[in-house]
Amino acid sequence: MTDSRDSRDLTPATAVVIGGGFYGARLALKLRAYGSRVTLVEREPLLLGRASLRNQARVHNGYHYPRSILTSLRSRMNYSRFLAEYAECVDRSFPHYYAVGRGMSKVTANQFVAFCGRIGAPVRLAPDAVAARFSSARIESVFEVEECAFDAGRLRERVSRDLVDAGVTVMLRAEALRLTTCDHGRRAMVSVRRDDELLELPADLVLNCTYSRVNHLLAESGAATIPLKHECTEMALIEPPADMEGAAVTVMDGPFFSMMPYPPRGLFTLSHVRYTPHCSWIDQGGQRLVDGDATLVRRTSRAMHMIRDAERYLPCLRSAGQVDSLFEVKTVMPRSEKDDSRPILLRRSEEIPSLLNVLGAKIDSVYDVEEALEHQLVQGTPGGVMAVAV
Amino acid sequence: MNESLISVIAPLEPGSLTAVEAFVDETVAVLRGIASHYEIILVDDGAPDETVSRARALLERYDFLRFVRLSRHFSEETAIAAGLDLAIGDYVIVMLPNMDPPALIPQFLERARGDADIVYGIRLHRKSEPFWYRLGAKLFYWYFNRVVEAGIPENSTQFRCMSRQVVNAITEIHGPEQYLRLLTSYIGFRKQGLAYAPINRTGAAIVRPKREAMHLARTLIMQHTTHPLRLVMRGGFLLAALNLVLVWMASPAASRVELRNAFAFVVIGGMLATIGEYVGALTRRLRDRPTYYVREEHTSSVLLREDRTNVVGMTSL
Repeated sequence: MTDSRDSRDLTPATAVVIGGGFYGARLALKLRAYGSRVTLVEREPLLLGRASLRNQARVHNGYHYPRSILTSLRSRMNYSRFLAEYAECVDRSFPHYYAVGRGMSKVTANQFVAFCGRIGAPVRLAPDAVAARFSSARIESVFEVEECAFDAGRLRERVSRDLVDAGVTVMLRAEALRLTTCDHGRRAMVSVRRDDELLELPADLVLNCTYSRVNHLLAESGAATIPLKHECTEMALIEPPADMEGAAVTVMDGPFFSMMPYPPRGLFTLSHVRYTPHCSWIDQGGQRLVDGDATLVRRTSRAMHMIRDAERYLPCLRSAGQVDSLFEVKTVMPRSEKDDSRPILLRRSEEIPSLLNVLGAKIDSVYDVEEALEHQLVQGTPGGVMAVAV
Repeated sequence: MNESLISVIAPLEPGSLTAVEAFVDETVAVLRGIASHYEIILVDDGAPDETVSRARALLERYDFLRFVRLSRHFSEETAIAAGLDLAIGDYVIVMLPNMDPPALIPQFLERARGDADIVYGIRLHRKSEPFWYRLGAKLFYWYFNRVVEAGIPENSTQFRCMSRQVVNAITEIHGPEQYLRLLTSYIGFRKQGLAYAPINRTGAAIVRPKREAMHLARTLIMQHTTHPLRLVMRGGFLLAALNLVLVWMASPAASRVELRNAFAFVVIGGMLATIGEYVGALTRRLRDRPTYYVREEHTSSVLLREDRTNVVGMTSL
């Protein structure tokens, strides 16, 4: 591993991927395809059991980011790739309406149409019968778009199968505690606790795909943390109102809401920009990290607030019944707050050179992470932030 | 406990600095006891930064709080209008943090759930106010209720509880000057007064400055009625008649003509002023721009319910 810049040389012989969400599983497959021996370590008893599951099932087709054209364009490209690759894990059976709010919206109906034209995303006015269900005082215009939902349950089955077929070793109920460097930083030892046994896994490359716990692993390993913002979020699971005939609705672009199918439970998720985040915090270097999971417990549901606000825009939501709520920690890069972009993060740890930290925002951005990883392995780009704006 | 959602709107005025915390503490305690779902919306209408930082600290202590900052100081009435636009409750209560006691919320609600759509507060006394203010108020209510015969209940305050139906009716009325007391009189529905003694948290005088009070009275009258316009029209006819009579009666006496002219100018001046006010109101209406702008909005960010000190960050929209 010295002079040659050939990709073979940078491909790790053994790799450990920490975090069995969709990203971790995909990247494990990717490394396996390069010929590495790969172990996937997951704390939960199931793969894709946390953020990949307890999140909105939207496969983004670009509409959602009218203020970040790059994010939208990448979304459009990844959308067709995702649909082609995971056709059986996707629900395309429902119409999806984007409604543009009046007054508090950061985008107008005209701007939204122009923006869709620019990114080449199909958009047309919703049928009058549909538009009539919205409050004309609060909604400027309603559009029908093409955007579907993924089924996290089916995605888990598919990915689990792929992992077995590819020969990736999957360790469930196994928590990666910390990393230690060895071989002058060229390799790392991952300490893993599975049930009551402690294991040490040596690796040439370690991927930290733990999403909201990226910094916990870094801090435990004595490495510098990354400034990340976390939110304790709630999405209400509702029976959709009969009037909407199974359609998904997203109101743009401000303190509004979104209602769409959630295939794993056969229900709809209702999320609200104002009420979904229950609280937020930022990881600051030198301070004790907040345990995100602890913020999820004993929360008073805000489903009623979401429904009451949403019914002002879409009155038939009054009859939407809350069945349950999904609570999960959501992690973003602080900059996304301002410019509406959803960059991915792929950053080599300075203290542990064989550790790459990964953070994405949307299920379909996985292709961008893969590209970035390939870039790292082939070009050997040195450490530092490689936030591909996506 | 009731399954309806209660909204409390509180405009934060420049003078309400010290009142905010006590107000929110008390209101949360009252609401927790009577409702399983509620929200408190603090509308910052150009309050000083210290009030703002106090209000934002409250967001980390209590859940279901909202803090809305308008782009500048508009007016108490505009802040309330903004709150009404944002409130999601089945019942919406408007309160001034400085003078309205949260302990009365259950009484207001009970009546609103009973046979009233609007329950408004009536102050029991105006003792703390200076003489000129009380006289002006008296005159205003006399004109409004006896001459114009509009129903603004005497000594009514902003403290009120409205059903969702009423709030919808009010928020559908758009205009540059939204006076809740006037709008509630206009829309009808079943109303009930509830007399109470206002408190005074800050201890400072709670009367409006003279100019603001005059402006408010003038605008309230103009927004509601064209009565002054009819009045000056009648005056015009009267003047014309007087003119004829005087000219006919006293052609030789030049001094009388001068007197008449002087008198006429005064009256005409008054007429023009009145008409001017209405033209002004029309112009404002024709401009048709938003009544207010929201600069920022924040919601509660309580990290851990048990541990009130371990709190960082804030949810921003």
